[in-house]
Amino acid sequence: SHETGEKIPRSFVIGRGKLPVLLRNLEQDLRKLMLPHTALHLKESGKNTLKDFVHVAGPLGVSHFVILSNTKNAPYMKVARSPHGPTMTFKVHDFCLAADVARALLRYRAPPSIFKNPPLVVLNGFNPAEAHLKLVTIMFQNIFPVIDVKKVKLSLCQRVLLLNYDKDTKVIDFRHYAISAQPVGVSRGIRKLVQRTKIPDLRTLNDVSEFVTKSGYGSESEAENESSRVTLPQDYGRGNPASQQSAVKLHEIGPRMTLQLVKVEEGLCSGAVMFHEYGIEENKKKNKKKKEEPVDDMDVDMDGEEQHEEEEEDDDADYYRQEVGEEPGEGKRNFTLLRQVPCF
Amino acid sequence: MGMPHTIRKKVLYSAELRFGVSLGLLVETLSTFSSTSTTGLETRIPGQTCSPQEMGCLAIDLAEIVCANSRCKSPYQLAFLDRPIAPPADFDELVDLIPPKFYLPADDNVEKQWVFGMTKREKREARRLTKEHSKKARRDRLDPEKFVTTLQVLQQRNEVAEAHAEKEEEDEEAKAEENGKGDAEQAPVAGTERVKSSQELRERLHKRIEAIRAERRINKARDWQERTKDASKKRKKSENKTTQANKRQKQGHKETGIVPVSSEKVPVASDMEFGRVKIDSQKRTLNRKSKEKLLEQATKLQKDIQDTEKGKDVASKHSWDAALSRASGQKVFDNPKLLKQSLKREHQRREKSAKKWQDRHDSEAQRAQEKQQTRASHIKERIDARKQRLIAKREKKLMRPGFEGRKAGFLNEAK
Repeated sequence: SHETGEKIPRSFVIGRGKLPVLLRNLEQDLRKLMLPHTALHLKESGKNTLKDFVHVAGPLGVSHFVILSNTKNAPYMKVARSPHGPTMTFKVHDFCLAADVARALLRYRAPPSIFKNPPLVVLNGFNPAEAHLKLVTIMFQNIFPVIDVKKVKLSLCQRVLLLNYDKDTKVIDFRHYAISAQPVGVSRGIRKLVQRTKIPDLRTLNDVSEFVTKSGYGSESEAENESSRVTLPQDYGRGNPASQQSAVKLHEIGPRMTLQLVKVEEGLCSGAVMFHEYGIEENKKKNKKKKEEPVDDMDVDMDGEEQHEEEEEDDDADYYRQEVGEEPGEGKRNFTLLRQVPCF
Repeated sequence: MGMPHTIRKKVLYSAELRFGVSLGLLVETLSTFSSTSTTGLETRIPGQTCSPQEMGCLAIDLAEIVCANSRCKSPYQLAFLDRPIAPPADFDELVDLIPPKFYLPADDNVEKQWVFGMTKREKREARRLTKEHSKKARRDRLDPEKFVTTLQVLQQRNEVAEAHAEKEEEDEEAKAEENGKGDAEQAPVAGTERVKSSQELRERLHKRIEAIRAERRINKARDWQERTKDASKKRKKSENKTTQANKRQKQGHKETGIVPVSSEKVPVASDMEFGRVKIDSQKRTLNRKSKEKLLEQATKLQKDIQDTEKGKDVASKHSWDAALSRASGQKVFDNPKLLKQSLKREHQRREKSAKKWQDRHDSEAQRAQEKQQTRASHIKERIDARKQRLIAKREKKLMRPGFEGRKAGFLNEAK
């Protein structure tokens, strides 16, 4: 990039194997998330293997791969660094698409202008003492370009990706928000007048003074979040000049996911397994096989994954039984039933 | 007429101005007395322009003529005729010679009528009045009893003005007295009233705001309580197990999805991390090892890994370090196979380029040589051709008809 002088990391979001419609939509949502440094209209055919993508990635300057795949159990998402980089495999427990979020919200606003700049990243709960968590943080921090604190324009930071790690459930919440700022200390009417280009509707008012006094002194939600008030160092959009107090608001856009880190491999979907959620020893057979034939795995579409998953299923089932007390598959967490927006 | 047109006009106008003599009268007299000549007129050369002084003298002469021959003499004319021969020494006498119409400023008391706003009737009325007034004025003008000199008129006017001024002053004083008393009484009353009302309003406003705020707080507290009750029922078990840190996390979750950005007030949670930020420009490490060295290191590493004692530790440590550095964008050269390949490629490239250079070098030398050869051959050809030409030329001389050319010797001569 011009500002920092460092390379801008670019990514490919691809799907491996035949993906159902929902996952294809999720893939598209993830591509939108990674904008602008990703191929939004990347065409992949069934014959393309990972190797092809890796060969193309070099000259194009693509450094990261986000690969979605589907199994009986659950969809999996791999985040890897090309060409020799580590691969992190996440199991997608739940997800919901941007369209679902749009339907759930009263005012869903994701104008195309906010996708012209890369999002900020915030990671919470990743204990750096644990090596695999540290790797996750570093990976996500480096998927997006570096920000030069001195030269960055605040008005270009319009999106944020939030990742929250829960120690007990070992689940990562993946959220995508749009940032907006609102001036603080003004009534709603004046705030809207300042922030928007629309001329206000005064039909219902008897007197012009009512425009100011009707909605009360001060915004309704002003008392709520003292912590979200910031003194802006730069102008941020309309009505939020520098060195003034503004309240930072987040509006959800884009996909929601509940991920669990399952596996970390040395190479790009190949190499030694450095970390496995359900123990490397239990899955060593498969790991050894992989180590011997690293190239094969890259060429193979799906079979390797599936076999692997069968082993895991037992562990998964035991784990599930222990924790939840129910038989797996009976509860809500069923991949095919995933259209409900998880509430938090 | 002896006088040229221009002088006549000027003289006539000046005379009218000075002595109030109508232009028409002057024209008449001039036409009748065409032959008479006074000292001034005769000596005039037609076409010559006069100076103002001369004009004045001409005017006086004309006026004399007119006054002497007019039927009904106005007081001015009579006065003019009876004038003293010596010029008036006193300024006042001079002033008296000028009619008040021209000397004194127009009477301000007379209002000018605005004709356009008047109706037909009003206009008729105004016209009638002016006619009557003008008639009256003319009669007064020619009435010797009502004759008033300019100075007298001036005096009269001044008296009137003074009287008027005095009157105005008295009125003003009276007004001022009245106003002064009134203001003193009114001002304090009005002020106190206003102050009271604004204070009242402000107090009312504050009370209102506080009431609204209190209401809001109560509602919010109620909602929050409800929410926490439900939440606690669900997560009773897990809450007991968790530590302080997790509690904090969960609270962050409960808030409507807003993660607090680091502000001055709230300290950032210890386990929160943000995207990569460049604060200081770090110098790029200039120590880049050559590939051979890297290969050595890599092979050494492989050996250590295969070493059964510490192999696992070394392997795991290295793999994690490599993964972390690769994730952050740094290149890690730990695969000796790849390093060898790259070395080989480098080597091949060097060879290839060396070969290319050599080929180019050779081909260039060769080309240069060829060029020189061709050049030399061309030069030689030219010389040979020249020689041939000369020979042919010589031979031509001997190609006489009947002869075969140069003597070639006897047939059976030994060659």
